[in-house]
Amino acid sequence: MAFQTFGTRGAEGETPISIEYVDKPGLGRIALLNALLFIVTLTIYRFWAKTNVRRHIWNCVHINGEPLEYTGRGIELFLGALIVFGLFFLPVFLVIMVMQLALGPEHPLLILLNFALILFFLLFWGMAVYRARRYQLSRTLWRGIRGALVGSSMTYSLLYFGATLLRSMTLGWSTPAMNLNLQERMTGDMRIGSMPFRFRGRAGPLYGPYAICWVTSLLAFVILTLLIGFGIFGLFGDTLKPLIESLGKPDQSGPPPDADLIGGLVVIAVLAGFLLFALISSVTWAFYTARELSIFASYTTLDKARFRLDATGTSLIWLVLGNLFLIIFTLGVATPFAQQRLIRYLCDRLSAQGTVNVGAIMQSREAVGRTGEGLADAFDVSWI
Amino acid sequence: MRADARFFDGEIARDHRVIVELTPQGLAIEGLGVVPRVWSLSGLNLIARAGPGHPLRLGHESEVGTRLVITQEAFTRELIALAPHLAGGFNARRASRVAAIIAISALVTAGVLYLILSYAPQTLAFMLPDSWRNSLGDQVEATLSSDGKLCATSAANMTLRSLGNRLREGNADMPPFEIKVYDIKILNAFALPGGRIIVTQELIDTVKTPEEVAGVLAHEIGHVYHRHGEAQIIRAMGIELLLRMASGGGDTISGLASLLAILRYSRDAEREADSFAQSAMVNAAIDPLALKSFFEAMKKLLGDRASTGGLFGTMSDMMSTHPVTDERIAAIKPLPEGTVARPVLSDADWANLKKICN
Repeated sequence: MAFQTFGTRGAEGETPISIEYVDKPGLGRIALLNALLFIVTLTIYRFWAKTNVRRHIWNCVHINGEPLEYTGRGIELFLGALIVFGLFFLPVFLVIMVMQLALGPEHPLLILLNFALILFFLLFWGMAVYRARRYQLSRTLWRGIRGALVGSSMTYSLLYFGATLLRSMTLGWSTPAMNLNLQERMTGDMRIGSMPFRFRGRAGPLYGPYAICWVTSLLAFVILTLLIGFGIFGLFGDTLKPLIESLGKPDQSGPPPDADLIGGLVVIAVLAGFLLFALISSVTWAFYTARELSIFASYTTLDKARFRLDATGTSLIWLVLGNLFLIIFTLGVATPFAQQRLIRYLCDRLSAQGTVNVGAIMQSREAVGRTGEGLADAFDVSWI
Repeated sequence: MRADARFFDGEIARDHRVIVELTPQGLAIEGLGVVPRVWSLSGLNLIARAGPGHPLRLGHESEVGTRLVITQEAFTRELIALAPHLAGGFNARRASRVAAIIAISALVTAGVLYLILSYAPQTLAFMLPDSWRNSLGDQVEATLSSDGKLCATSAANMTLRSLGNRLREGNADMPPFEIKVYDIKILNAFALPGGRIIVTQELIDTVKTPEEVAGVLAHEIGHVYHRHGEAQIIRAMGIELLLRMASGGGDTISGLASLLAILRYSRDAEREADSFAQSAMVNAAIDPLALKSFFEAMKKLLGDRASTGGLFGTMSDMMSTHPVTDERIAAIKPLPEGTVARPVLSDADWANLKKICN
């Protein structure tokens, strides 16, 4: 059997790495039970639901024939969420409610407070992502060895915040470099037991795909804008001219009778254009994301093995679209299957060249936290 | 019985070939480079159940991270026969325990929430500063009267003011209130936070005597006296907070909860307002039976529609916000013997009130 082939050679050390998704029955039952209890418990079951799904999916991921094991517990996630709620959300809500009571809902102070909250969310978003990853790794066993994330979530959070600000200041052009920085920190902090992952590479190769996608999106935007603009003028130019001229002079006889109709058509045209643009740009950026994933994987090494991810834009689009339909048409009941598709996608396309000295992987000495993912649950950042 | 197995010691990722044996003490594990040990059967944890192509994976409660992988099916069967909990699958005892925990905690939570939501808001309502009550009243009034014309207020209208003052007689700790008549196309009267009492033109059109108007006002003043409006808003906010707590609270902050939820008072609140109206009318020497006759007229007029209101029915009529029950009607008693009713409004004032929106 597959899991036995390794045992004989493993003792000697240098072993090639194989990653495989081995399906097993039972996810459908988990999905149904989760959906039912989710409703019955007013969503509170979600922590246990998440745990059940992870336990199943982790167990289907076989590395060198040996499955991963998820050891997290629902109560840990629940307590984590409770702590975050009590320490942060409860005080904030109470303050906002009292302020609403005292000042009315449209007071400038409340707007200021909401703005501060958005800033706060941005500041801690990275922390939520990092801590969720740390929790998941510490609850993942392979051959009895825990994963770990050894860095500081604060540092990561600040870097994340900086990257977000920089992105808007550079019209997006800092994204490849900053994504590389974030990935370098995250991957560099990751461990299997005592063995570190390493991440080394330049952002240069990312900029070609990025430039193509950026320019394509811009062109799509400009062309769509022009098309809609000319379309409106071509169809209604004669009616619009007096309408526009009359705008500055309020004392005239009023807009022509079909102004409402034209106004409605313009709104529909602009809306359709916006949707079309959203579609084109999502498709375009899927190709960049695929390139980024592949390049990041190729920058990642474990011992003497280098990873390789064969992600392509088209397959990524099908993955995301399929998952979207899966979730929407089952009202979320099939979410575990969407998550399974994602993990299966990664497993099918991820491979490693070179070898790992499995005998050198010792148990992690990192402390294991007792609660998990509180911030991540509140911010809803984790995708599985 | 003995079998080959693989063992992970939780210290190093490489595996060890071991021989496992079922002994009277439990599961004995021996192999090169492994400290010999005996795992008690009851302490065995099922990590992954056995199945076609899937070996049995076990851990033990005495050790963290150690894993035993048994492939031999005959041995697996024998082991499961001795320790049935390793079979995995549906475990009725565990499931019923979980169900019981969920049910009990849901009941306890519901009980605690009920107590908090029914008593705390009423107490807090009396602690709100007047400026907060007024700003709340402004908001609710603005939403409620969005499409209606303001006809008169007790601040400016002599008739309304004298009605209000008459009902205030003999009640020293009554908070200030203001009566406003709006031209809204519904038949109703509301008591809002901050002592605002809204009466609709349609209600004034419907009532037959000044005493009936006084009765309706007395009832709404009762809501003001007990701060029911403020309590209801605090309650709505509390519910919002609890919902947020259950769902994780990641959403943006929304405004006040549904207006209807705020204006629809509980049965207890209605009873309190009725009993206030009863004593206020007696103090003011107005026959409380006028309120009774108004309720009866309402019941006749709107009674059939009441059932369509439902939990989230419209507030388009009196019955959906102030359900009139026989119990409420029966609770209203006439003036005590010896008290002589004094007229509420002169004929001229009554005529003016009737056309207050014209």
